[in-house]
Amino acid sequence: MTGEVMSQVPLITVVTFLPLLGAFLIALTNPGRVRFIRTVALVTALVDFAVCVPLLAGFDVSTPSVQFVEKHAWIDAIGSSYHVGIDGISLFLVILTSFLTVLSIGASWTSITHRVKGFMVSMLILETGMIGVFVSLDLLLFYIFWEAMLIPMYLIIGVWGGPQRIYAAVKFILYTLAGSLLMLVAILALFFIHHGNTGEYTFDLLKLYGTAIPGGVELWLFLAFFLSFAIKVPMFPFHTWLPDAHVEAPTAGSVLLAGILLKMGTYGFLRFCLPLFPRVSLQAVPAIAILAIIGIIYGALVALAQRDVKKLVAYSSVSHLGFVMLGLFALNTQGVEGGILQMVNHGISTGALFLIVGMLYDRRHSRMMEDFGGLWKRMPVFAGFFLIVTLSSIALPGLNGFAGEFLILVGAFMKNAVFAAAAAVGIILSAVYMLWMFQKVMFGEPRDGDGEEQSAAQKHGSVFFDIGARERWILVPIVVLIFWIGVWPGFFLSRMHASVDALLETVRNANAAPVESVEEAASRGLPTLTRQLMHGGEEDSEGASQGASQEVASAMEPDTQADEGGE
Amino acid sequence: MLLDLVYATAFALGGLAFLLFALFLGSLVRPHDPSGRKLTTYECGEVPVGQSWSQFNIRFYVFALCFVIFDIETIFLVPWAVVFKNIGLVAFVEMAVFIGVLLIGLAYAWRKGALRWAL
Amino acid sequence: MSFVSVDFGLLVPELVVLSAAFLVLVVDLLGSRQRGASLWWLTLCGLGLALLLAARGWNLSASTLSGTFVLDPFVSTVKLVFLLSAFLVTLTTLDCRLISRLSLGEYYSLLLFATFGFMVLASAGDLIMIFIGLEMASIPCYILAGYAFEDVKSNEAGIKYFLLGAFSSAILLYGMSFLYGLCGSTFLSEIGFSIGQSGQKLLVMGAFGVFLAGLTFKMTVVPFHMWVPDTYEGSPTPVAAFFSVVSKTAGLVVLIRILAYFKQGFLALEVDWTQVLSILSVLTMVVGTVIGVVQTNVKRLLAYSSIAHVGYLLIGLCAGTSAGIDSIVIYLFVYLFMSIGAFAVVTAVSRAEGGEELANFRGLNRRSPLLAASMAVFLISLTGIPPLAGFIGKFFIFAVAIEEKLYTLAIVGVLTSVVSLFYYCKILKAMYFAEAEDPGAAPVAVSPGMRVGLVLMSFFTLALGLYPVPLVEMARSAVRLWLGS
Repeated sequence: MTGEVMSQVPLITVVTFLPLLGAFLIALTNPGRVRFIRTVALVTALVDFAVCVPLLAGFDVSTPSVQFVEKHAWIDAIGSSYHVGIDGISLFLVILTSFLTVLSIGASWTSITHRVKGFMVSMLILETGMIGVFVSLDLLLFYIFWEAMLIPMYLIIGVWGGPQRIYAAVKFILYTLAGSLLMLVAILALFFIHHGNTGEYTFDLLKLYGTAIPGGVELWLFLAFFLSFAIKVPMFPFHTWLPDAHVEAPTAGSVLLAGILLKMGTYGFLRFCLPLFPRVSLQAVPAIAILAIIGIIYGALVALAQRDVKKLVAYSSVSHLGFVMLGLFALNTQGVEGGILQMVNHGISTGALFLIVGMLYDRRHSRMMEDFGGLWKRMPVFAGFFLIVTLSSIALPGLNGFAGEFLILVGAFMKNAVFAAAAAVGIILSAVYMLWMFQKVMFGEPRDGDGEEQSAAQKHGSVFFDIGARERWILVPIVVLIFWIGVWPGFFLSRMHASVDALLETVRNANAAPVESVEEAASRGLPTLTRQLMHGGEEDSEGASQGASQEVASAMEPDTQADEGGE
Repeated sequence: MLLDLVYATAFALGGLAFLLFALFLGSLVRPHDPSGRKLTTYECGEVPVGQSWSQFNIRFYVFALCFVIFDIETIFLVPWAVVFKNIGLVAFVEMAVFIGVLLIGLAYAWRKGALRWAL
Repeated sequence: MSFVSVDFGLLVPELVVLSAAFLVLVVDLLGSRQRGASLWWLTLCGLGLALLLAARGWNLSASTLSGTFVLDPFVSTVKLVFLLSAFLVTLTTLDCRLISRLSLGEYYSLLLFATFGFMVLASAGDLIMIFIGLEMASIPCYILAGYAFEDVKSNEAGIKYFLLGAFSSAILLYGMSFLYGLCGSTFLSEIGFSIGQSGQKLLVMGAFGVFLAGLTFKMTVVPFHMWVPDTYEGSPTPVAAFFSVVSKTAGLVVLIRILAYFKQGFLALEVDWTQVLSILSVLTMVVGTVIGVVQTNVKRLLAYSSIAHVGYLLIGLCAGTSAGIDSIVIYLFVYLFMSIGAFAVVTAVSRAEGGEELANFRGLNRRSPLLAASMAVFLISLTGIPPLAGFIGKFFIFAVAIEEKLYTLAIVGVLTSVVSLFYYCKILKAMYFAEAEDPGAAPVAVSPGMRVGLVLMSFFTLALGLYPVPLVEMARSAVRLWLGS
């Protein structure tokens, strides 16, 4: 019965647009009523998170297909519809988004004091944009959410950020827009290719899957999508916007940036690049894996050299996201599931690290390691939380990071042992920089600041007064999740399983049995040849094209065999 | 055709040669005595007063413009009168609109003080 | 002797605008000193009425005045753009005493005369009518550009616009005389037929090339754009808003219609203008965007941005399909709201601040949240970021480009959009991230008309982005009806 009631409620739409409603309500409020505004924002985010519970409860583990689907006509003229739904890949990302939004709003309760109204409105609009990206099943709709969320993030960095905020905000928006506009071109090209194949104008993702794309064009389309997602992730050569944006953004902005926005890139690879361009994706595996490994090692090494805690965490993101990419492009169950799990883990752990850095900054108004020290004694409760989060980021067995990174390494190892070995170095490095930071901040002699911090110091006895109830309540759910995922990853993996297998099946099928599509592609790519064949006679043409496709199939074989052998 | 062009060209060249020859002869016999006065504006033998670039009152321009508009109007009125009988009422209305528009223009100029000499 | 019968029914929107223009002049003469508001209402009502009438006869296809005045759904749709723009410009200039000490009577009536001229130009069925319409529109525009006669820059704008405008009109006329000489007719349809018969490929190309040069001047396409920044900067801001939409649209529409009429002829001669138009489009996008980057005067910046937008519009024309013209119509409607909106905000700010430098926009968010927010909406929309209408406009343009395999144009368009974001960001930055130089600066006053106008334009910019279906349907059926007939 509850199921029936559930199916009546457009859950996905509610989850997506509830924050927008809250934003609208806040927009109508007098900017002076700060307390009311904060409360409305928090309540909206909490309710939105609560709506995710039936989403998780009602999720059917057994089917790979998209669930909670809603489809309504939107721009009929070009075959675009309001088509949303979730599957095992997007389920946890949606929940993670609403979860981190609650924490971010909680974290900015006291640290954001000016233009509170604008901040909360931006946060809630951002939430709508982020969830929208994860639930869209229509390419145009997806693109709209994808770009719409740039503006609130731009404002969050630019208005409430640190000293270099304007530079960081402009850099962030220009980088991401450059990538995504090229993706728009690719989306349009795909749209017309699909129309050419089937005569139907549609942006429906499920219909576009399996579109036969002429050989040379597929590469270009893949590259356009790749660039857009790689900038977002960010993968190694495109990562330069990230340290600026992360460091300059306010705590809540950094949490969402690291926790969710980066995942949109990796999610994009899974949802779009792999199933839309399976053949090129497979060919691109070595290149992407190498970029990912460079990212892992490079990010870790640069993090090692940082004195600024927030910068360190930012560069650690580059390293961690390298892991995720490596897992996803291992293209086997372990790797992909590990990658998705690691997306969630990174969202939780790095989100938590940014929250912790934010708490430190609120007290000392500095993020430099040399300004801290000896906090272990001053802030014992805080120290406990910090330790757990640090260890989770290092991937200590029993905590969430381990489950994800282990699976990724298993997946990578099955694909290529050298890659796995190189990536493992990254784990060691991450332990080095994280523990080094922990030691610098927590142990040694306490250093109280002077100047403006002194008033707080007099009030609390020290600049470094321990965390209060609000801050504890922000960190407790994170720690719960860290242990939950660490101890019982099966709960999460089982819900991904069906979708991931279906996705891998798609990629495998496209590469293993490309008789139909390659023939089509060949005929499109080589019109003159086909024409000759047509003139040469019916039988000849059939034989020749079959031969060609067999050739291609056998060329693909080593890869597929490797895949199957690995499992 | 081509021959005509040759004639015309020959004639033009001959004319030019004649002109240059006359000027050349003149330069042989005339005295050469440049002076500043020779470069002044020629005012029928009188000594020129002021600059040749003198300013007119801008109002002349507005008056002239108003005059020209109504002057031109008569040019339209004459042919209109000739065919008026053939066309009839439509012609009357059209001309009424035309003159009406001009009258609005005149009223506008008047009201805005364009016809007053002094402000 | 036969007398040409005139179907006045087809001319109703034009006649309403014309009558409103005269009425404004007369009322201006009769009334007392405090007549600004009544003139404003009169202009608005006139334009509103014409808008309704034009929308009602929207799907008519007919011609009158012996075929020199053509009406079809495409032209009617474009007239809606003109009328809507004039309406919105008027709406946001109730209290533009700042324009000049001169009364507003002339201002409103010149605006109406110019609108009338552009409407005639769009409907022109022969070369003579094109020229008459162009001059009827241009002469009021020259005066409007120099309307703030006490301002040196406005004088400069007026003179510059007049000289170059007259020059380009002469070039246009020169091209027309060639076309007439070749074909012996001034009717577009007949010329289109006989250029194909003439076999004079080079002459036709030369004649049309000269004609194109004259038109692209009006459209502010790049090699002929030099006058734009100075003219826009010097002109009173609402006038610049009017130019930025209406005069460009008019030029573009004439070009579209002529290309449609001449299509068969060009095909017969194997003359293809796509290459030329593509090059112009790329140049326009790139120059408009790149030079825009270094501007510090917001009005100048918007002037360059408006040049770049013409480049995007030309992409639709390069496609040469009916879908391309659809995308142009969609873009025009979308562009109208955002461009006039952005200029309206500049009007309000420069009225309060006495200038429109970037510095004048600092901290605008504090001093007038409405102005800042609507400016943000317009600028983001101009960049083409969803879910605002500008995205829909660019989306259709790029879609057409890709459908017709004009990948270079699409990619240049995309990249210039990114660069344009950079300069729009400068304004956003000033409004939201920077504090005003004088922290105690008074809030910027916004007149009721401006308030209504800004809310309306922001609403449409958002609404057309979220649900563009009616606009898309209208554009498609208009173009289909026109090309089908």
